[in-house]
Amino acid sequence: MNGVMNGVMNGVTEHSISTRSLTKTYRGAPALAGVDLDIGVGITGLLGPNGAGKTTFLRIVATALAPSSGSVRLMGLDPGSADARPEIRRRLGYVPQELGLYDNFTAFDFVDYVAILKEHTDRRARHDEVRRVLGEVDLGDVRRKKIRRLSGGMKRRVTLAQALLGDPRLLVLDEPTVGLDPEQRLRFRQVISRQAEDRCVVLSTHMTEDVEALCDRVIVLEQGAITFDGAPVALAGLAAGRVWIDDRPDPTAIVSWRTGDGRHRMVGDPPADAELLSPTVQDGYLVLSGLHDEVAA
Amino acid sequence: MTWHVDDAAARRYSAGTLDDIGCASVEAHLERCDRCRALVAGAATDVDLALLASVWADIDDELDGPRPGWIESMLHRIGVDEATARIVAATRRARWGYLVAVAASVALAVLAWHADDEPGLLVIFMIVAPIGPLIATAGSFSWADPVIGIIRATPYSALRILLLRTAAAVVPAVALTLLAVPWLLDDGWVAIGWLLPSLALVSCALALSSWIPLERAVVALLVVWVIGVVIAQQRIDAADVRTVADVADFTESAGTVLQVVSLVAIAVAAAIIVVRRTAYEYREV
Repeated sequence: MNGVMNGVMNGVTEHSISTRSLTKTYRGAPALAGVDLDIGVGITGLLGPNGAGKTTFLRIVATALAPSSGSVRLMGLDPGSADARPEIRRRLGYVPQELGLYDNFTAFDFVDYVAILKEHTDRRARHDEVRRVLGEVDLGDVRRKKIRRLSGGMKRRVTLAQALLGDPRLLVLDEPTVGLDPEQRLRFRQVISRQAEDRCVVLSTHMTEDVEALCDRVIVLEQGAITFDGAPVALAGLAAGRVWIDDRPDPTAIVSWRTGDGRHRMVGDPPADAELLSPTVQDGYLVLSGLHDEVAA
Repeated sequence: MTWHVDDAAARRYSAGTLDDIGCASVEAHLERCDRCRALVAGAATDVDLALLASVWADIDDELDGPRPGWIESMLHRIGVDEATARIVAATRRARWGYLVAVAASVALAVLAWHADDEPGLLVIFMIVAPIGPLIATAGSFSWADPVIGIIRATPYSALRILLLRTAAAVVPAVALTLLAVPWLLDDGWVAIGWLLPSLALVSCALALSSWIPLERAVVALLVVWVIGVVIAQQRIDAADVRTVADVADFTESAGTVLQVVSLVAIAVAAAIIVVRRTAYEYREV
């Protein structure tokens, strides 16, 4: 046990997540194909299409799934070790993709239930911790309400509250903003960014705006492999000189759409006299996936 | 318009000279008004403010805390600790599973009662009896628990949760049937002949769920059991048995084999669960 504790204590220089040649196959089909990653303190966003391996990767780093091969170290510890695994799980918060809650519980009861599973045995101390995390996600006032009476955004924040129990060093959030309206998404971002001061937050999302607003690092996964790893600005930079606006759509563009002012915004290879625009993360992502499609073709 | 306790009422309340109706009004108001609590506390000369704060914190904590449902309360009463009782009673779907298992046991008792006069019903009883606990097991965890994704990332043993909920599903169903069926049926041994096969099916489902999802394991075993019973039924027909006594004879000879096979299956399943205990905690699927 001492070895386990020392591994964590000495883990100052170690990455929160470290994977080497990480693979996962389902019935022979690869979901992750040899992923090498080191992730430390801060917010890291995973982008990628459905089936790219984001959820599989997050389930593995949340210890909810064992890899098929390769190594994974979490806070310096091996989740494959029966001795180290409980210690990792005590220091880990996980919000799975599916919004699994007991609707007949109150918000307090639900988080209290997860606190029991996280080995908070002293009733009074546990209740204090439950009140703390519900306060962190701004749900203190509705803690005695049944979950079925809460809005979608509040339910999402209940799942985030349970992940914050015990002040975890590693937060794994699988599409935490899906299904939220713009205001709820902003509140959610606010809460997540508050958590990232001194811990590792890894989140997957379909929303490039989330990455732009929250993350200091973005990793793009496609077909189980990393196709980009860098700052959101660098991902946006992939589209530098490749985003333009014109009065007519250009059929050679990767994508084009009519904007509110009736002009057409396009991403791709612009003509020589094009009116160029500053690229966004979304543009960079489109260029990246467009490039891959071209290579695949 | 918001009503608050005035200074005079606070003084009289603290001194114990306020009439009963006044006291009731003040107390009802203090439950939700911090300002007036402070006022009344300030009006009192012999109140331990630290104690008062601690009492209010305790009341607040009690109001926050979960209200145990009937299953959880019952488990508390028989000495089960808070965490275990909560885990057993948490999912509504599992609770339905337990209820279905118990209801099925009662129905089976009635079926067995009538089976005394009808050999065909006795065979149906033998087919159906072991299935209740198996289905209740399927409803206790895995797909039936919406929080399974979160549970798998907590340090609490998933195998322990699985075993606790299985026990909660199986024990009442088995106990009820054990109590009722021998009393209703002349030949008690025939009536409880299903018990070991039933426990064997549940054990095998738990063991198989270290490789495949629990619900798939349960469905596979249900299919195997029904096919087995249909084959047995065909053999009964071929043996031209007509009466309860004939069926009992058949059950006695074939049943001995079944009981031994069941015991072996339980032992093997238990060994698999022990050997593969890590697979429940760190899933490969």
